[in-house]
Amino acid sequence: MSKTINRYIPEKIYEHLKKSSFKNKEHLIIICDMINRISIFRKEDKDYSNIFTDIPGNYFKDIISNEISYKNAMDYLLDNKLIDCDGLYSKALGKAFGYKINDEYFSKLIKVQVCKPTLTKKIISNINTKNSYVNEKYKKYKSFFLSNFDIDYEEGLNYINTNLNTSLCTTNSIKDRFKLINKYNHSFMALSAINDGDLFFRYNKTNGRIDTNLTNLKSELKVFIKTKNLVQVDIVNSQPYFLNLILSSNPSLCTTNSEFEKYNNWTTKGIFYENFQREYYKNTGKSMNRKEIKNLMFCIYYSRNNSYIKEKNIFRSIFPEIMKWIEKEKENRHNELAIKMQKIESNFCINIVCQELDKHNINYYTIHDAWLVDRFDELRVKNIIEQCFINTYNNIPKLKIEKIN
Amino acid sequence: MKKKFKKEDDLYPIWYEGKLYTEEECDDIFICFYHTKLALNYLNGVYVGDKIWIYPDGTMEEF
Repeated sequence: MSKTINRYIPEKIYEHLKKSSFKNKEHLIIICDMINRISIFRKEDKDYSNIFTDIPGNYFKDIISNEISYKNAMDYLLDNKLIDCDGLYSKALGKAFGYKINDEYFSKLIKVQVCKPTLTKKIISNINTKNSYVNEKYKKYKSFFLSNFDIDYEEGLNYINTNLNTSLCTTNSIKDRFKLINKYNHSFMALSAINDGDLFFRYNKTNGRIDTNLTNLKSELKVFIKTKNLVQVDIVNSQPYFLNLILSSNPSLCTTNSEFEKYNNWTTKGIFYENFQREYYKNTGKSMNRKEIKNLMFCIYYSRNNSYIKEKNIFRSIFPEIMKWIEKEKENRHNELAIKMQKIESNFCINIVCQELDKHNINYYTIHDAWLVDRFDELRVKNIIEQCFINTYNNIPKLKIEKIN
Repeated sequence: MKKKFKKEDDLYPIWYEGKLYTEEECDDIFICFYHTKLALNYLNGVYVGDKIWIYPDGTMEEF
């Protein structure tokens, strides 16, 4: 039996196609799906107002390989005003034709099935190609993720549908309703991609992080991950702590004075934000909550040296040598420290800890500086992470464990 | 010289809240963490750490 593939098109277009006598309806579905899919995953329509998305013709022809069939399908959609084309094309300027769903047909996406073997084979082959590169270091994790990561689709859909209906009840403006539906379509496609096994797993060579369908999933949807009894293991105040690890490897700083010891003590015990909050109040008489302090700290660590001067001076009054060191690190290029810290994080979390979890045959998912594991493995995982910290940095930070589902 | 068509891996410009940001217009911290479109959440934010995401205009929020 041939495999069917799910594609997603606006329900108003689906209603039209049901009545249409067009011969190759699946070609129409492929084109409409691709216009939505590229708009959503290329992340260009951030006003949620249904704008044109440039799509080179070979993207469509890669799946509908017969030139005449492709042209017939595209002409049908344009002639019947189901989709719009901006008519702007320039090879010299690198501008492909822009497409969008016609506003009259813009509506919630619904699932339709495509079963023509020439189309499904091509779609499956494209999904496999994009995940074909494997690095030995995370081969086991990648294989586990691609074979197991799944979502409780119906429950997830119920949740986003309820949210959409509640929001629509309180909105009268057509423009705002458009945006709500478009936002819904974004969540719908994220859930549908996972449900269809259209998973991505990419290593980023600039910062060493691994990006997956999980890492950019909205936190409120994590409860619908199909693997049950998951807990999330986090490094408490991970960013200040990773800076601590860099500072520790700098002999001139760690032998200096009590300043470094204080920073090390606060970050290792997981009380950095709380203690800084107290010092900030002492220095300025102003109180900030934990979230504001966290954001402030990111500004101090990662912004250009000539911005957030006042905030940096407060940090300087508590940690003068460390502030001087941070500024020196960012002197030439302000992003160097941030990239260095992302690399330390990814090297430790992926290359060191995950390899150790693999050796112990423990399954896991990662979200950059956190791991999702089975509740029954949580103590073993905590011990392994702590042991990795000891072996690598001779230091153990505080770890926090939270229930996911 | 022929230019390549705009592809999924072009990082800039990037949309946020109805405004298109060039690299020069993006917040300097956002730039430090934005290296691939695959890392973006559906609002076009990128993960910093400690559960915080940053957006092209510099807004920092949990997601």
